[in-house]
Formats: sequence, structure tokens, C-alpha cells
Amino acid sequence: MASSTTGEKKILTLKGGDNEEFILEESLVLQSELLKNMVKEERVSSIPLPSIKSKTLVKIIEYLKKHAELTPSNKEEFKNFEKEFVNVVLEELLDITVAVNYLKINGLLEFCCQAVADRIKDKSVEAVRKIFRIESDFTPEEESEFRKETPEAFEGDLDDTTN
Amino acid sequence: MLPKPNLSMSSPIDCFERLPDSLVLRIFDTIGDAKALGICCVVCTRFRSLVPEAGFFVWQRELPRKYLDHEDLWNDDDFLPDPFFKEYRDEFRKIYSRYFRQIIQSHGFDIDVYPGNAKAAFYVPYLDFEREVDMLMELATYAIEEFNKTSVYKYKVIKIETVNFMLSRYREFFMTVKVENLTLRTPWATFRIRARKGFHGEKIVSFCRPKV
Repeated sequence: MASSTTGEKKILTLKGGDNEEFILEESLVLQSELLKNMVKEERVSSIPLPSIKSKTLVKIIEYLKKHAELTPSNKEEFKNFEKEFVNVVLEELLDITVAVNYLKINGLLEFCCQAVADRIKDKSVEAVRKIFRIESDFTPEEESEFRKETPEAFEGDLDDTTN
Repeated sequence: MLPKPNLSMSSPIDCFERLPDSLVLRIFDTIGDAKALGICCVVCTRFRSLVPEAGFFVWQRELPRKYLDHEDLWNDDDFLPDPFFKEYRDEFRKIYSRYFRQIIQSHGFDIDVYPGNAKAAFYVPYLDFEREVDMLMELATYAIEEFNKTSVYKYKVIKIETVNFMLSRYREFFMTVKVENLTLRTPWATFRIRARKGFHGEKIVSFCRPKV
């Protein structure tokens, strides 16, 4: 972690997609490789992030704060927080994952990818399509061939209960 | 922003559309389950084109178990380092049993036999890894730095002890490394790291844990 020599905490402003501003300590954003480079190399104090919705940014900042407070004694609490963090509707989870990927917050990215992967696992093809609203773009011939080749992929209960 | 109240089926918005290929690949990598990846293969054309990239590793990783359980899958072409070794087939079977068992038990990290340069022997003990020690150190250091970010204790790589790699379209390395616990200053600990370099030279860590 970069220690400020002046003893004074540096302040940084992040601007979300809807122009909402978030003012936070610079040390918090150093977990993001992208922001870290911007802060270190360009010495900026305000960073526009037009592709990230404010709602998503709020969530990510919440994570950064919690993560910064991580100590041996509250490890369990942090784990629970992480679990709750990804326990959101799919749309929101993907918003966060895309933003975290862009910001390059590696630990959190791994966790988000796992959360998305968990929503794909143990589902039938139809369920995955329904959950992620993917339309099959195979030809009817291909589709029927897959059904013949791997009938088990199309079987099983249509578990699409995940948000 | 609120989710749209009516998710009418007439206008499906593909949730994955805004995810770049690299991110989808990362998610597939995390799935780590051949059956689930098989299902992804028949979801849509984009998934189908991306799955082999991630799935190859998963499929290959499950091969030792499959071979061990089904000896009828063993064939001379894939298993013998040289066709002239046919008369030693039984000897090779013994070596392979031990080899696959070690791979499964140690998750690819500890192998003390190697059948030789054959297609089925794709976990390779890298005895002269010193040749590439700089690149391996870079991977190991990166893995530990990433581990530190979510760990209470901070570690630093001291040295690489052993390296195996899985021969595939790229090499995935299985490293056993000695690390120093910078927080507690306790004696060196042992970590196991599985990592590789991606398409564009990016470092991809799929496993990094203290050895128990």
C-alpha cells in the first residue's frame, strides 16, 4: 500500500455513468489495477467511469471498503459479506462482473466469475438459455443433431430458479 | 436502475452479449466441470466456439482418472513412447498405473515416475526447469501477490522446489514453492501453484494454496 508521506489522506473522485460523484480515499482504489495506474502515472484526482452505472459503482466501493478493513479477526464476517455481495439478481451480478473486469480488481473478479459459473452449473441447456436469455442460433438441423448426440444435456429438470 | 418489470419473451436480450470473450472464457475456466461445459457447447454458437478453449484443460485434467478406471481405453499408439516397446506393454501398464494414481492423489503436483514421451503421458516432470526459472518465478510471484490480496498473512516466494507441466496447446505449470510468511516471520511454508501464460502473455492462475 502506498503510504502518503504528508500523513494526509489523498482524496479521489470517481464519476459514475450517470454523472453521480463518489468521493473516497485514494488508498481504497489501489486494489484496482486500472485506477492504480491512472492515479500513479497521471496523478489525476477525478476519474470518469462512464461505462459503469452508479448503482454498480456503489456496490464495488462497498466491497473495497470492506476489503480494506479485513483483519484476522473478521475473516469470517468478510466471507459472509462476499457471499451476500454476489447474491443479487443476474443482471446486477453481470453488471458488477463486467465493471470489475474493466477495473481489474483481480480477487473480486475471481469471486464474481465463480458466482456466474455457479449459475451455469447443474443446469440443462434450456435452463441456461432461459436464465441468460440466450436464443439458440444453431440451425434446426444442428439443434436436432445435438439432441441426438447428447440427449442428457437437454434432459433433467428445467431448474431456472436462479434469479 | 431498476430491472425492466416485464421481461417479455419476444425481445430476449442476451445477457452474455456485453461480456467480452476473455471474460466468458474466464467464467468457463471457473466452471471446471466437463459435464457443465458440454452443456455450454450446445447453448449457442458463441459458447460453442469458446468452450474448447477452456474445456480442453478440464477434459484433459479428468483423463488420468478415466484411464485408471478404464484400462480398456489404453492403446499402444497413445501409451507407448516407441512402437518397438510393444513387448514391454505390461511393464508400461504398471508404470502408468502408478503415474496416473500419483497425478490424481497429488493433483498433478507430485510425480516420481514418468512413462516417457507418449501421448497419454501429458503430465511431465520438469526436471531442468532452471532453464525457464525467470518465467516461472514471475508466474509464482504473481500468484502469491494475488493470493496476498485476500489473505490476512502476506507471503513472498523464496524459491521454486519442483515443477511439473501439463502438455497441451500451452503448458500449464504445477509448481511447489517455498514462501516466507512476512506477517508472522515463521519458518518457510510450502505453496502449490497451478498457473500458465495466456494467449497474450497474460498470467492465469488457476490454483494457489498452502500445501496441507
